[in-house]
Amino acid sequence: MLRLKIEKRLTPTWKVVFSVTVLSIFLAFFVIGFIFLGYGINPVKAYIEILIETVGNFYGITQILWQSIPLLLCGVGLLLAFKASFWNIGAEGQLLMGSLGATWAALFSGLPDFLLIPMIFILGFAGGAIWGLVSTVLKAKFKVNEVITTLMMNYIAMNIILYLIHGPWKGEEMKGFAYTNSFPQPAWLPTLGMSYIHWPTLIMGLVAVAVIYLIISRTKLGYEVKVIGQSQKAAKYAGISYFQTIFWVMLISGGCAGLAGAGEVAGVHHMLRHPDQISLGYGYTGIIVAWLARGNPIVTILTSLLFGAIYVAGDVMQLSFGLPFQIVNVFTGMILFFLISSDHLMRYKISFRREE
Amino acid sequence: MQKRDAIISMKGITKTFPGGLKANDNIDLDIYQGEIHAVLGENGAGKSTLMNILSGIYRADSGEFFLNCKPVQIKSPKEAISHGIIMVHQHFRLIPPHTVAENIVLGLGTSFLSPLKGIEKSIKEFNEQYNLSIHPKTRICDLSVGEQQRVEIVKALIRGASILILDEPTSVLTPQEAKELFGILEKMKKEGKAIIFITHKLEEVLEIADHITILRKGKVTASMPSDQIAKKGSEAKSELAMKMVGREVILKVEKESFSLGNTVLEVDNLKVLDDRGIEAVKGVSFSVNRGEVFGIVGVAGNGQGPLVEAITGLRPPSSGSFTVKGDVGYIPEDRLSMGSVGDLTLAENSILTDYKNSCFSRHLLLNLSYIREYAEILMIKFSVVAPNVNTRAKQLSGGNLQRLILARELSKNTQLLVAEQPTHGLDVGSIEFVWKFLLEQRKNAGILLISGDLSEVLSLSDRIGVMFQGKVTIFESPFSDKIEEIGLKMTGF
Repeated sequence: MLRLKIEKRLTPTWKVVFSVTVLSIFLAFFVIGFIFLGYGINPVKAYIEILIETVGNFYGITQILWQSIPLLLCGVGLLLAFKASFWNIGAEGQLLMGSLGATWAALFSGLPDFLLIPMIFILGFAGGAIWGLVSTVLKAKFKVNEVITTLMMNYIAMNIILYLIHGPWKGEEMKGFAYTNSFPQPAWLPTLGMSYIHWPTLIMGLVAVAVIYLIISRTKLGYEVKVIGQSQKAAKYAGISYFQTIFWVMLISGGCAGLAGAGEVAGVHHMLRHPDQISLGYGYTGIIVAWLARGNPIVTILTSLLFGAIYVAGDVMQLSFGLPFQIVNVFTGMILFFLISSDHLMRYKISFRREE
Repeated sequence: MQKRDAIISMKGITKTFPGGLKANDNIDLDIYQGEIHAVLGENGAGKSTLMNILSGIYRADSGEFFLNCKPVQIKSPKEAISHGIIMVHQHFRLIPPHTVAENIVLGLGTSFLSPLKGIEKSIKEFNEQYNLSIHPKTRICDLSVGEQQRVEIVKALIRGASILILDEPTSVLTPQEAKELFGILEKMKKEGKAIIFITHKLEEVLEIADHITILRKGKVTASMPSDQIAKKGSEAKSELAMKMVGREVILKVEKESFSLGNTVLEVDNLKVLDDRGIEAVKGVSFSVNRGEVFGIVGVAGNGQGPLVEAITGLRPPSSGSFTVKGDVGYIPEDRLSMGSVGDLTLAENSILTDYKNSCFSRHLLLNLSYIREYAEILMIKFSVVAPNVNTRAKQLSGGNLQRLILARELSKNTQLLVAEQPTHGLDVGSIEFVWKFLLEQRKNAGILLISGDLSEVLSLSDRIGVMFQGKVTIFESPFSDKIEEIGLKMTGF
């Protein structure tokens, strides 16, 4: 008799991780294919069209790069927090608070022109960091679950911005629309050629990847993060202070999301506007970007590009097939669903055994 | 007298866990109707494993069950319940915010309509029958631990238990509650139920059990009716205690004696609370000097954990004081999730308790090349077998991992070393290795050894403290004529 046996794998090899990951993404595409069918669209044709419009031409590629900037910053910051098993779901709110800090710097700081852009990034970082640290203090001092606080802080950030753009910061030049005034020209981030790629933020993202890689692999803080993330009991035994470590982790994690927000307002919109327009759920998608990278900050470059491409694919679907924008959320949701399920599969292997 | 037939009998039950630990080794056990059968043994003797097998939670590797002399299979808790075998776990399986009735109904799989009414009626019946006084509409979280246990018992009765297994039922109870529990058990016994009572407390066994089976290291070392023991008196009791903790010979360990140095740990009337806020260490005083092993022996759960946590600075004492000379080296009992970090490399694990030391990290950065070299040296010196220093700790066997932890803690040159169950679950070779290094370390330090293994403590210690219910009784060497006394102290006599 042939019997199915399920055994536990201690450490899945990178080949297993890679192939299972790719397979689960393809499975997600397969299932999403039925959604296309539901709209009366041939999924094969749709995927070909999407491929051509995204990675198939130069414009598509610049679009992908542009979309992946905030995803990279949010994702790599989240990766550090997840490494410490601090489940920061609040990159969205941290991003929004970063955009708020950046807006203040651009519109109200009154700094000389050459200081505007540095200040936009500094206050962007600070806005995100402070927002992240609120949950840190609540967790470390009062043991409040960080999943709940970081998530709820997103809504608070959103409403603060809504209040500002409808109230005190509402621009005079906007004639009734809920925007702030446009940023002065010196506060606009430069872009690459004709594209939307605001390269200073892109460089920030790459620097963040490098810094977080170095922190994890070479510093005392990184060591503490890894021990805390694996076992709080061992951390206590080793004399590692939970609060101190998580403080630095969330300062960096929230700060990265804040930089992403600064980049969006100073590089794309040049004003503070409705939160749904500033962030197309970058903070939430960043969770998947970090998750997919499986603890390796360098890999977030690839995963953020993948999700940048999915965002662009969403645009293509709207323009070419007339599908609603929300379909992108279905896309990412499906992919996340399959990836999280695959995580368990990686830890087991199935073998067939002949039994008498 | 004609021999009765057992309601359930187990034959040749063997269970080996992944990792090679033989928790049950060819165990035979007969349980009779209307009898309270105590299964006695230390922690790790295999009692809970055996009962988990009987109640269908684990599967035995080999062995057979006979229910009323007919062979049966027990593959799942559901099957066990269908045979009337129900276990009340040490940690209750109740949902705190739900009511008593709701908890009892859960999993009964009765009709579509709410079964609560019917259940409330049967709870009342059992209430009267056994004098339980539990109200079906009270929420579990409003009940005391003793009352929750009664809910578990009623739950078992309503499911039609004819064989009731109680896992360490008195460990959570006050003496008064324990007395009430015994009353209930006596009544159930008269109703013709068979009761299996798992414990490591010898006293209460003699009070309530009809038949006693002693397990030690996965084997049955004794099985007899309890009136036999009662007749023979105190000698039989010490016999029983020795069967449980083992008639230990002091193993021949090469042990040169060192002259005693200065005091490195002074504990004065120390009291420590456990997680539940109950006083687990009830005023303990002792001292450890350089050049000696002070061994604390006791059955697990008598306050050793909180005592160690206090001395190593992980838990603040509630009163009393202790003074430690210098830093403490600490080999924790839980080597997998406390003593090491499974997903980190051996190099990273080799600095776990010392990573702030200036030779491993300067300012913000780690000195990676030095850490690797250091780990390599440790691995050679303590013969840790692994491919290289980048191997993950979770890939190491228990013995190798313990060598690494030992290497790390001994190399720190602290004056006090706390070793908690340092050889628990290791193979013979590793045990000898650990012992050798602990004894050698007396040259530089005083050693506080905490162990449940009497033979280990007898073999290594220069002085012994027996810990029972939060108190320590100290014995001076030589121990050869005090072994029985120590064994009795461990079991509470």
